[in-house]
Amino acid sequence: MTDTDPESQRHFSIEDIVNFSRFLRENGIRTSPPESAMAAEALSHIRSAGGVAVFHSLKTVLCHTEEEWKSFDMLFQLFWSRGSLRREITKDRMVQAKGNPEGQTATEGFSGHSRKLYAGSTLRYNEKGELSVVSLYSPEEMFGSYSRVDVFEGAEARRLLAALKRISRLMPTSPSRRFADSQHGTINFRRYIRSVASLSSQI
Amino acid sequence: MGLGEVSLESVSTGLLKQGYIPSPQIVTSVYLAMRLGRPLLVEGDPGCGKTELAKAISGMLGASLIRLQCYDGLDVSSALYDWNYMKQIMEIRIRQARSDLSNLEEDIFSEKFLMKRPLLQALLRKGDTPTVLLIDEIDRTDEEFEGFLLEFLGEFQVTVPEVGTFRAEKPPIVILTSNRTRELGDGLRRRCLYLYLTYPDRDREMEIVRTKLPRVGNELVADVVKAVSSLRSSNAITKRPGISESIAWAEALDSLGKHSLDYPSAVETLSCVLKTPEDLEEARKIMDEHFK
Repeated sequence: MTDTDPESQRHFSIEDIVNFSRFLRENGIRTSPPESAMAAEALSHIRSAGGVAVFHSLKTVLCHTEEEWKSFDMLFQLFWSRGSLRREITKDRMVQAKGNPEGQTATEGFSGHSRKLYAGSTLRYNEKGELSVVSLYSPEEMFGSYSRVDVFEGAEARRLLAALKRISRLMPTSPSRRFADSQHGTINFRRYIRSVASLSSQI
Repeated sequence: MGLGEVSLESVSTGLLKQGYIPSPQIVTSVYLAMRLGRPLLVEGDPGCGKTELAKAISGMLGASLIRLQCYDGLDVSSALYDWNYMKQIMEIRIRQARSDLSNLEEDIFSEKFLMKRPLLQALLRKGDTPTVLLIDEIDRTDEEFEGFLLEFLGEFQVTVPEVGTFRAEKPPIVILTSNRTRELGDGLRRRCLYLYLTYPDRDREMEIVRTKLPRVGNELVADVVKAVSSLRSSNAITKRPGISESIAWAEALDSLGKHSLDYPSAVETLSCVLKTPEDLEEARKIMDEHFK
């Protein structure tokens, strides 16, 4: 990817970064939700720079070892320049979870319902029967260490809010059911949405 | 340059002014380390410019550089603080002679008798200019010290039981380097931004040598860089030459009045590049091939 690529001029949303982090995790680079948050913060500092700076920023934030550093380039290319292929690969790696009335699927190897929820890989069929990705991390988990939410301004803040709301709508179970057993403790998902909403209106 | 003024461009030009030729990746990593206030862990082969990077950053910012050179057996008393026992004994004697022993214990364990080692110095540095703390070759320390460092880097504060807690007014810019002689723990890695340095490509290395030795001719620089590249690519060489060896070799050849590298002068001056008899022996064979 170069500065002149249309790809490099694209906007990198929170969802993009979260999905990219997951993709890295699935492929051996051990990223964590706080690091995804840090990546978002890093990108907010280089927003006027080109796509190459985005690549370098994500690499320095999300990699921790020489091995990860060396495999990052290929994974970055695969994810950002061949999005459709990425989706296909993700789909192929999914297996139908047994006895799941909502038609959710889980990553191969994670068959238990609660483990599946935190494996970061659940898909869901919508009313039209289309497959879509459901966020398995609550915003609290994603942005728990993200103390400076006010770096999001104007349109970006609106996009963040919309993304959080979209994730909220996709949750097929109640917030308490989904997050009560989390190792991070009980999280009131909707209250968090409200707090983000009120925060964004103050920006 | 103040921390508030930094941009990708200013980091790039700032490092160039210090004679450090940065790649775009280096510029971005340094910029983000300053912006996000995160330590930067720099790994890579010996001699690829890790320590120089920290020096260039401090030069660029006009900041003081505090260096903690790590070694096997480094402990908190050498890295953080120690008590000045001689001074304490003298104080006790003086106070005994004056028959003034009130609050003696409290007095001799006060900040006045504290010897501040590099980490504490970096925490307590005052003023507007930032401080660059270079923790060099962290892989040489043991896991115990690494655990201690984890806490230090997380909070930028330390507690001296007798005195109290010291917290940095302005956290220093921390650069850690490692040659990977030992695997660092996950905890430390996750607290840092990461930068892996390799030897520069030929063009960049030529630029670096030219910057350091502006009076040396282009032909000689190109020849030296090419020969060093041949040496580095051999698995038979145990201590591969770094950038500073390229510079030293070009300088030595220039001082011998050479304008290009030929086989006899290369073999005669190989000791500028390699330091063990085994490597020198291997290097001669490589030079045979190189000049064929």
